[in-house]
Amino acid sequence: MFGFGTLLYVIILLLNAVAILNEERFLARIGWARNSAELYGDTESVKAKLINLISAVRTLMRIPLIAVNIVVIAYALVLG
Amino acid sequence: MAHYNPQMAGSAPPPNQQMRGAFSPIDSQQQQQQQQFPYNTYNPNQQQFQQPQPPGAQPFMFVPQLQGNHAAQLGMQFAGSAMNAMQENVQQNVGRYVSMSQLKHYFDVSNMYVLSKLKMLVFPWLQRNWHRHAERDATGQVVGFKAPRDDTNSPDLYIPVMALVTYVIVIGLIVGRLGVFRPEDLGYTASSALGILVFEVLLVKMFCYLLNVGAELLLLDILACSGYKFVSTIFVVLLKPWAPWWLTWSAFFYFGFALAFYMIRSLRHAVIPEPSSVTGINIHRKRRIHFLFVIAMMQFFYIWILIQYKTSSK
Repeated sequence: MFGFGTLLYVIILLLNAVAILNEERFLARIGWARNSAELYGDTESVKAKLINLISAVRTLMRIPLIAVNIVVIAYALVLG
Repeated sequence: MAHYNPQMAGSAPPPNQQMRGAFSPIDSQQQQQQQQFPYNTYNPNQQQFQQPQPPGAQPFMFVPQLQGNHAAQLGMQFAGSAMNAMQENVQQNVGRYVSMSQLKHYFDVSNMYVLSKLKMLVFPWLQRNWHRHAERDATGQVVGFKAPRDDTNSPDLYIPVMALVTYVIVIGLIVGRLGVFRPEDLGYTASSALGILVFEVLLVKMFCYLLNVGAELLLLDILACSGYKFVSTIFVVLLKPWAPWWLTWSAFFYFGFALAFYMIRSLRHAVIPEPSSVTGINIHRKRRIHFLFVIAMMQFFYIWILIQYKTSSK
């Protein structure tokens, strides 16, 4: 029910969800883009931390996520 | 293949030195490993004595014999360097996240510590002092916290590990008493227990990142605090099969409250800054209090999930 595999799926799905957010079309419109004007120089607040986290995930995880997704899809097709 | 180790064929140096030369380039770390694990070092003298030798050929015997044994020697060399590389790899990869000495600190427990810690988990209301003692070196400098052996308030990893194993076995026993036990149930139970543990640690880490709780809360401290929930769970799980429903539920709420109380009191000093400290740190104070409360209330949810053993075996 709350097993290790489920947790792994949830984490991968959440990472995917963050990774597909679009910088220009979506994040900039709600003021969550990396270089928003009002957040300039502010690194302490929760919002700044979240924005930083989102942009970090988007830059860092994009390529590895492709591989991980392919592996999970193959696994789910064969054994799921 | 002889060029792999040109020193070997030369006039024999002392055996120990010769063996050092036989390994791939040795830095100080590797050397240390060799001293720690003496079974890695291969002693050519031993082999010399095992083989029958013609008399009178002692000074010249060494070189041809070594060449005759080249396969064995190369095997030993490869085994030795592979062993070293493996150890180095493990040390690098594990040591990057947790250091071994740190781990040992968390397992440094005594009987008295375990007893008083268990008492603390069941009756946290009786505890007055929740401060951890600082460890000082000879000059009086604070160098960290005291080991669990000397300080009851210090988190340890011995109780969580034992409680986790006991929890899995207890669930196996209960399911076995119902007569529907399958060996996979142990695996499912362990997987869900570990899943909850990882989930909670990730959640707390995420909050720590968002609220700027940095060095005060170590990863292993979180893991230890998170692992104590299995102690409470075991009590509830042991009541569940035979006790009437109201007793189980009251035990559930009692142990849930005790665990939540314990979490709040033991994490408070790490998470919530003192009110008198610098104003810059205080901007997250209210949020941190909320976060601590949420973490504590989540304990009910975790215990509730952990006592559902029937779901794993339909």
